[in-house]
Amino acid sequence: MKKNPLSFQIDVEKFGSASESEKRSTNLMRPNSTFFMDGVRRFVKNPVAMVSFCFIVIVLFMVFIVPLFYPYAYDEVICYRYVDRPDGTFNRLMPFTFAQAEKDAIANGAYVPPHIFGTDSNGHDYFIRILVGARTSLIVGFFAAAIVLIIGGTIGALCGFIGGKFDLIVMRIVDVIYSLPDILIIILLSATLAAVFDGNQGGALAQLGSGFVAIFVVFALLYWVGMARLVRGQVLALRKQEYVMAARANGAGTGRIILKHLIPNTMSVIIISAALQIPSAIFTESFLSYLGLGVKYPTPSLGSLASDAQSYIVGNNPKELFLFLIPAISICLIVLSLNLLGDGLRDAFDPKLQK
Amino acid sequence: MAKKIIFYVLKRLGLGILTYLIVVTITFWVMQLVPGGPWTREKALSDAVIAALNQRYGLDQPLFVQYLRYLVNAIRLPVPDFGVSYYYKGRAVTDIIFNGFKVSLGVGAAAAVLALVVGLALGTYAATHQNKFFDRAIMVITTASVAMPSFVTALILLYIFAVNLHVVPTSPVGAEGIGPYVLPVIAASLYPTAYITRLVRSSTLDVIGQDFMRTAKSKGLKPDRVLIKHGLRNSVTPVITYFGPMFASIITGSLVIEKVYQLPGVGREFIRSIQNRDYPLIMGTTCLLALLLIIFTLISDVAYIIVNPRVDFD
Repeated sequence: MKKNPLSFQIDVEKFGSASESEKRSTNLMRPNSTFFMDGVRRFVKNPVAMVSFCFIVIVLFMVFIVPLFYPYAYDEVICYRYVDRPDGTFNRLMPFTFAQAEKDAIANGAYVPPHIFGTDSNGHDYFIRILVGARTSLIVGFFAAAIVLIIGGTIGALCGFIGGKFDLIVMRIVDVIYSLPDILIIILLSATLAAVFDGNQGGALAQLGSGFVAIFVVFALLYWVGMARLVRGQVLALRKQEYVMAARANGAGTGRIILKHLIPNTMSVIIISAALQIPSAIFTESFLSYLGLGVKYPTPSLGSLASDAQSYIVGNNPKELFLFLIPAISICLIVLSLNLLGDGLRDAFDPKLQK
Repeated sequence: MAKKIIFYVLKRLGLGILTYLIVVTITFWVMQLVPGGPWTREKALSDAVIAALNQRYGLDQPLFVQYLRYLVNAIRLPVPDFGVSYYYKGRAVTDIIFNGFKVSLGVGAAAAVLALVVGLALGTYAATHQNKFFDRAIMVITTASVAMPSFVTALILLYIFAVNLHVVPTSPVGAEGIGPYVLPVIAASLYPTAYITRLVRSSTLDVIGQDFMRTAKSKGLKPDRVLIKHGLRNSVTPVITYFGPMFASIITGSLVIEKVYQLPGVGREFIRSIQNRDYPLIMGTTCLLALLLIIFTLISDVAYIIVNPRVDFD
């Protein structure tokens, strides 16, 4: 139908029903998102945190899964596979090289798994020792953080809820513990525990090593205070919130308030601050191992591996420097990525703290 | 206000004394856990000799009496008394410790000054050139360096400058001058430098945005002068609170650094006393280092409220 340009007649074709996509485009509401999903979205957008996260995942896979099927054991002296007596030619092999006996075995058609990082001065495969050492360090960090979380969280929450005299007394104790010199007490404890363990060889604790136990004891005795302060502060701040008052006015009991309001609102802050304890515990452990107070041989930790290899630095033997550099760089990378991951998590899940 | 400050100082002093007494108590009772007496040697001593030694050192008395005597000696003024070393026969523990302190304090003070100067300069520069290349570089380096254990950095410095380049001697034995102390000072200052740089950077960034800075600038003051006269005074206050913890980190660092560089300081003495199971020396070092730490934390906290009158006293 031809239309007069000056006609006022309405063009009916312009008034069809809207398609589905057109309907959606006018919808101003975005889909519901939880606090957790918001945090994840912020976290994924942070490249530094994501790289650290991926690195940590790879490290966890390497240290917990790979040793299960790695052809060498961390405490296995390799030369006994080929000869009956100690053999120095197996010691301090360069990465991906073989001792003469192994070369002979390869020539005879046998399969000899490569030494990816070579071997150390006791004839152990170094790659598996680095993996198990990193595992030791990570386990120390994780359990130390868990101890802090459980003890500090419980005491802090109790202080916040009960308040009054109990709170006052516990907070004074916290003040005193806060000012104790932690490193000195760790060293003192591990030195004495070392002597105690020497008295009863073979006990389960003695197997772990004095430094190990000392770290756990000290974290349990001293380091809970920071967490207790944090949790107490969170609880006190939350009790003043209007929505908690509203819930109470609606007849919610303490149990329901803890479950529905307290835990969801404080958990992210608390868990992140506990996670930041992990690198600090790994640091402490490597420090103790360097001073000879850490794990007991043959159990490796990254600190003790670096400490064992330090003589190659002073001896200026560039060929064997890698025995020091590999564990040293491993500590740095693991601690660095844990720090960055913790910062990233805090930025993502606790936007109030962001600068 | 003055009354409040005095009350605060007294409160902190009381807390400090209490903390020291607790450290002394912990060291005493922890030492009682050690199996075997101090006279356990490879060659067993006869019972008569042990009894004589015990009587001489007062170890035949009940534990609680020993504890009280230890406590009283530990708070003796002007110098506490921690008894006699078991390993270096007949030498007083305080004597050995103070000999070591001469070296440790020299290195520690030099490291602290270095960390303050470099940290302030780098931090202020990074803040005034925010997000430029240099700022980014500083942030990356400081982030990485707080993730390195001190023995790793100390050993790497030793490897590069002493073992390979021969710029400084590897050990103070037979060396003249300050040569052997250069690397220890640098190694001990790395961590505090990184920390102070970050602290100063963030506090300067806060200050730069303040109104009084803009006012000063709009009145025609030169930018450098605004930064130094008005900015720095406000941005260094967090550094003052870090002074106590910095001292702590330098002390703990000295344990490692003196071992790496073989310096005859109190840290190396402490490690040796642990290896030798020289219990009076271990206890004495722990207590004295703790006392120093407590004093430094007290000084830095009091200095902070004097510099920054806005602080609340809780």
